[in-house]
This record gives sequence, structure tokens and C-alpha cells, in this order.
Amino acid sequence: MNNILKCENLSKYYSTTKALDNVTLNIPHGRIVGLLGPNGSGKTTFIKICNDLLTPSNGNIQIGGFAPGVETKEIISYLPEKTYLNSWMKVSEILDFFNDFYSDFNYEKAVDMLNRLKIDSKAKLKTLSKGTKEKVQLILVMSREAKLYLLDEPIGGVDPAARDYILDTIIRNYSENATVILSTHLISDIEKILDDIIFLKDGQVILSKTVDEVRDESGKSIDSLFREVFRC
Amino acid sequence: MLGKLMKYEIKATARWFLPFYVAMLFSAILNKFIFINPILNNTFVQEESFIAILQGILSSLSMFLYVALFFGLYVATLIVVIQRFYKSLLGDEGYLMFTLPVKTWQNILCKLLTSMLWAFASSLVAFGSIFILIPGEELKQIPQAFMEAVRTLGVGGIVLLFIFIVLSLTTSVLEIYSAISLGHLFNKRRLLLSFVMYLGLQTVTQFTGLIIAALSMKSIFTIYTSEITVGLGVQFRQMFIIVTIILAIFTAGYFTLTNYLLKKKLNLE
Repeated sequence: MNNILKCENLSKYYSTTKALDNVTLNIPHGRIVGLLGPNGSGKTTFIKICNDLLTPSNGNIQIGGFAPGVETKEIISYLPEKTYLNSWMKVSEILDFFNDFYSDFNYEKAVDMLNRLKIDSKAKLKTLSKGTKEKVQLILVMSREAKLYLLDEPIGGVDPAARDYILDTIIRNYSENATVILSTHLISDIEKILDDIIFLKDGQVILSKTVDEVRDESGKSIDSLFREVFRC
Repeated sequence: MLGKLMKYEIKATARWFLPFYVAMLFSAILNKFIFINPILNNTFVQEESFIAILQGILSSLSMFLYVALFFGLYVATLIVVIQRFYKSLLGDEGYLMFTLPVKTWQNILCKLLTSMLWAFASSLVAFGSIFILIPGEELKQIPQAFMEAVRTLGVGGIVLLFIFIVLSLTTSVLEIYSAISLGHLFNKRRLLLSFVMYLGLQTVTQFTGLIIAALSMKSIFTIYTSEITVGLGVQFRQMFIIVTIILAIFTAGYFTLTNYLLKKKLNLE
């Protein structure tokens, strides 16, 4: 089995809009994939369907050979746009929580990353600043030795210095042979780490290529290609 | 996995309830000494003095505190039932809870069982506080009264009563869960619409429950009217069984509905 993620004619309709429209994709193991598109192009919808947080209206999707469910949740490490940390736990307790539920959670790695960022593991989650919460969440997600990482706008809300740190963390911590799919509209920042790109527009895949292909064929950077394709 | 979920759910909710329980029992003990005992022993200061006024104020205050805690406990239990479901499953925390490798029904069952656990614990504490307040001699009559009840109802009756109480609770809690899940189908004003949904469900539940109960009772009473030998107890028990069955059906229905909505129609903000 070469592909970690396969989907066919995947669609999600809401009463008035098509959030995702006939998406067919095959994503292999061991790639870093940029899911790129302007706001409202269906990136989050796609990621939510992969995570079983939305039920598709049409089509099917398989991750690691399974439809979204308990089996896929065991192998997907997901970083949502939202902060999902509760208010009552300490940092150390949320580590225990992850360790309890995910068999692929690497506790030592998480502790190590917390220490390096000088985040106090005895601090209550609710007392952390927004930026620190995001870092804790990223640490939790990247400390799993998952087969597929789904990162929804991991660098959306942080300053450029933090962006480099986050990308560095992702690159250094994703397990070999795992695939990382990250959605963003800040392309220039992530261009250098991507293997593949998927352009989404109005819920449809309009381009799906490797970064090398794009450069060879058009001689353009992903960023300038994006600006060209999505010109308003 | 259900056990793990419950471990964290109990931890998350204990910080609400345990202080409440301590306050409640402490307040009961306080009342015993500055309100109940003086009345029993007639040691209230009679003459119009500063101490008498102080004693009066203190004892009323402590009684007020106790009563407030008593009802507060009920309200707090209700709020926790709603808040834990709404916030931890359908709020931002839902992004974590629904991506754990657990089944949706396990998440719902975890919330339900934890709510039940606290409801029972709260009842125990409430009873416990009453036992503290009741004077010693009266307290001795309680085991007798209990034995009397067992004799009247029979062991079967007690079991039935217990099932009835449990099912009443599960129905009420799951009705709230269903209403919140239904309210969540909308994109705006989800909390308000959840409340409207609750009123709707409540109307349907009461109405169908009453009709089924009325119909079945009619047949029970028709069967027995000619037989004078059959006591009212039998009819009462049959009614009771029917109501319990209705509750079981509603419990199953609401659980299925909530599970379906959270599995297929989930749409976190």
C-alpha cells in the first residue's frame, strides 16, 4: 500500500454552498504536502473530513486503509485551527492525557520540547498566553509518532520568528515515512519545506503536483504560481 | 477507553462538586450546633439582650446558608451536566475529544455516567446533611422506616424503584444532550435554539408518555374493576412497570438520537 490517504469524488455540501466539490486525491507515505488555497477554499473542510469531524455528503475517503473512525484517529495527529486545550488541566496533566489515549505518544520527547521552550509543566493551561498555548498544542501533536500529521494553519497566528521555530519543529519531529499535510495561505514561508502542493479553489482541486514538477515546468516559485492562479 | 475517559471526566468535574459537598456537610454541622440543638435543649437566650439578637441572627444566617447550599447543589449539578456536554464536546475542546481514538457513543456514555455518578453523590450528601440535622432519637427510627418500606414494596419493588430512579435520571440527562445536539444543527444562536429544542422535546416526551400511560392504565383498571380481591397494590405496581418501560424507551431513543447527531451531523465551529 503506497498511499496513506486516498479519496474519491469527495464532496461536502451545505444548504447553499459546496464546501468541497468532487475532490479525488492520492497522497503517498513520506511526503510533506502543502494544502494551499485562499480563505474559504475548502482546506479546513477537507482536513475536518479526514479527522471524522465532518461527514462527507458524497464520495469516500480512506486513510491507512480505513474510513475515518477509531482506526484512523490512532494514526492521525491533528493540529486544528482552534485551541482545544481545556482550562482545568496543568501542562503536565495534558501530557498524561495524550500519553493515556495515544499509544504512539512519545512522552520524553514532549517533556524535552517543553523544557527547551522553557514552558513550565506545572503551569495551568488557562494561565498560558495564546502563543504559549499554541506552542503546547504543537508540541503535543508533534510528539506523536503518527503516520499522518494534519496541520491546519499551523503558522497562521504567530509572528515570523515563531513561524521558523514551528516549521523547524515539524521538520525535525515528524517520523520518517510519515506524511505531513499542512494547510496555509502563507506560502512563501513554507515553500522551502514542501515536497508536494495541492491548490484548492472553491472546493475543487485545481492543481496537484510535486514542487519539482512545478519548478521544472513553469520555472516559477510556488508563491508566484499561487499569486497567478488565485489572482483576484 | 471508556474507563480512561471517565477518569478524566471525574477529575474535571470533581473540582466543582467536592468543595460543594464539604461546604454542605460543614454547614449542616454548624446548623446542628447553633440552630437545632439550642431549640431542642431550649437553650436559646430568652431575654432581649445583645447575645439573644446575635444568636438569632447567626442561627437564621446559618440556616439560610444551608438551604441555599441545598438548592445550590441541585442547580450546580444541572449546570455541570449541561456545561460539560456543551463545552467539552461541542465547544473548542470538541476538536480534541472527537479526535481521540474512541467511539462517539463512548464519549456520550462517559458524560452520562459521570453525570449520574455526581447526581447520586449529591443525593447522598444531601441525605447525609439531613441525617446530621435530625436529632438522635428520630434518627433511630430511620432503619425501622426503611425496613417497613422494604416489607411493603418487597425486594422486587425496591429493585424496580431503583431502576425507575436510574431511568428517570438517564432520560432527563439524555433529553438535555439531545436538545443541545439538535440546537447545534444550526449555525447561529445554538444555545438559545438548544433551549427551544429542549422545550420541544419536553412537550413531546410528556405528551406521548401521558398518552401511553393513560391507555395502559385504562386497560389495567378495566381488567381489575370486577375483581375486588385484587388490591390496589397490584395495579399500582403494573402502572409503575409501564412507566419504567416508557422511560427505558425514551432513554434508548435519546441516546440513539444524540449518537446519530454527534456522529453524522457534527459541525464544530
